[in-house]
Amino acid sequence: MRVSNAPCTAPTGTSPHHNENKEVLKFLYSYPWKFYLKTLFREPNIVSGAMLVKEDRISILSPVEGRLSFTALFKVLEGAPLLNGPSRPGRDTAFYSAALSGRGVNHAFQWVFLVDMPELQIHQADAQKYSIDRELTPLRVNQLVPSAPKAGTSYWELLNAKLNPIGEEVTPVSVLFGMPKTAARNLENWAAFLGSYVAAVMPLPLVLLEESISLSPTGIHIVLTTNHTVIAMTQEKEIKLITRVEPIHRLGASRISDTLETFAEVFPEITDSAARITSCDLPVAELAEHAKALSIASTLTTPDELQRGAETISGASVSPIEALSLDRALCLVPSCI
Amino acid sequence: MLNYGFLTSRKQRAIYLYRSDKFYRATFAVLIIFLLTQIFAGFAGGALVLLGSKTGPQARENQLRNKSLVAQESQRISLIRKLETITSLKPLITTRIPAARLIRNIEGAFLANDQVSLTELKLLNGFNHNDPNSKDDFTIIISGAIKHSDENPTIVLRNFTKSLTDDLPKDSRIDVLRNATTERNEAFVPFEVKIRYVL
Repeated sequence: MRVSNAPCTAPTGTSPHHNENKEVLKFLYSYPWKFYLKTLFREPNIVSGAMLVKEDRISILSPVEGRLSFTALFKVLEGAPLLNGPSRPGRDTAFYSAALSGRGVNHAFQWVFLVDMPELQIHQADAQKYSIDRELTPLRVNQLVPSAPKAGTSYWELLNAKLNPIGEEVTPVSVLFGMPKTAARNLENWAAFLGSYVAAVMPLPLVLLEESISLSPTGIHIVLTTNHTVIAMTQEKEIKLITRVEPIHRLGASRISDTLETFAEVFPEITDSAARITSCDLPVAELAEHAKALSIASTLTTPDELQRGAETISGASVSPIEALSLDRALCLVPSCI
Repeated sequence: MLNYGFLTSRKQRAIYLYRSDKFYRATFAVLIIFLLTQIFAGFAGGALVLLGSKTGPQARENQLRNKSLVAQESQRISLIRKLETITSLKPLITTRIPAARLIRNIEGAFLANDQVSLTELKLLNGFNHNDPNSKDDFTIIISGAIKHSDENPTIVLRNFTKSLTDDLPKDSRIDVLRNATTERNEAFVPFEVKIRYVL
């Protein structure tokens, strides 16, 4: 399920005529004059690019001269997209020169943003209790997850246990993702300044978890980012349990072990399962230490396992898992037009 | 595969919808066609206004000249009528038989009949120069006398009218108004003949 484009149910006293006017105004407000003018005589060839946006660094993956090119910037330059404020990527900015030059970012370019920020929300929900064919309003979010904070100021998406749109198949376990509206709008405005648009804003843990599940359809998955730790148990690619806890640098591996023990009370077979640890933020050595500290056997996801032609991504050797995660994110979003 | 517009605003999803939906794209084509027709109509209107401003003085001059000609025509209407009449009478005038020739013909008839003498000849013509439909209408009344002799005067008058018929134009009509009858033994028997000739 997703927040639909359909108009909200008309409140009492609101005439259908009033709603029609609002729809017309919305249509005119969003009417893409410039896009139609630029593509009047020729259908555009849409190019997709992915960008990881974190508080302290940014990386980008998009085709350059027909080949995927990865660029990682370990500091936020002027003109880079910001999650907590507006930013304009003018052609004279340092960020444009370092990351966007030569990538053909224009009206026919769609962005898939990967974000990792503390305000991201990941909750396990039981969608079967509620009617899923209705709009995912803040009220319904609070009904699904009463503990979800800032429901009214966030965008929400509900996926099923196979990390697909819940409309395709309703599963007992669902995953609710939330993101602050201001952060998403900052990214949209940044993209709009270049004439491009945003195809999706995806939480980094979602992509890493999806990669981990594709490697180990059944087992324990531990996704570590600088802002989140996501622990999930899957069976044949279907999530049975999922939770989000504080990042490991705050909690330590022992807290993860505690969580796994809690899981074991519901699913005793967890103790016999191996855990897969996936991260693109933490160094391999640190991950290895955490793996040792866990109470169950664990393996680290390596770039070699994720190879889906990573050799075709130029510049991926700097941060291979990050580059492959961006590539994976591009595959998860349908191409526009 | 996730839905398009995952965790984005409604506006962003609407932009995607408009970009990918052929119906919305068609609205732009309609808009462009409408604007082009407006521009074309504007150009056509402008051209008409420009053309009108150029032909305006010429039209005004023609109108003034027309008024002047109408005034002149009303001033000289009588002359024009006369000219029209003369024009219509011209074929009649050119083909008419002059009165002198008619009199000569009558004179010939008298010479052919030496017993017949002329007392009076009246010649009337109803031709109206001001009537375009007028005709050359001659009425000739001959008053004469026949010298008494052995021959019957009535026969002499018949011969005289026959001579007139031979000498005058074919369409002439000859009527005897007063026959030459002998009432007393007079030396001369009077008679009257009317000749009508219409051209």
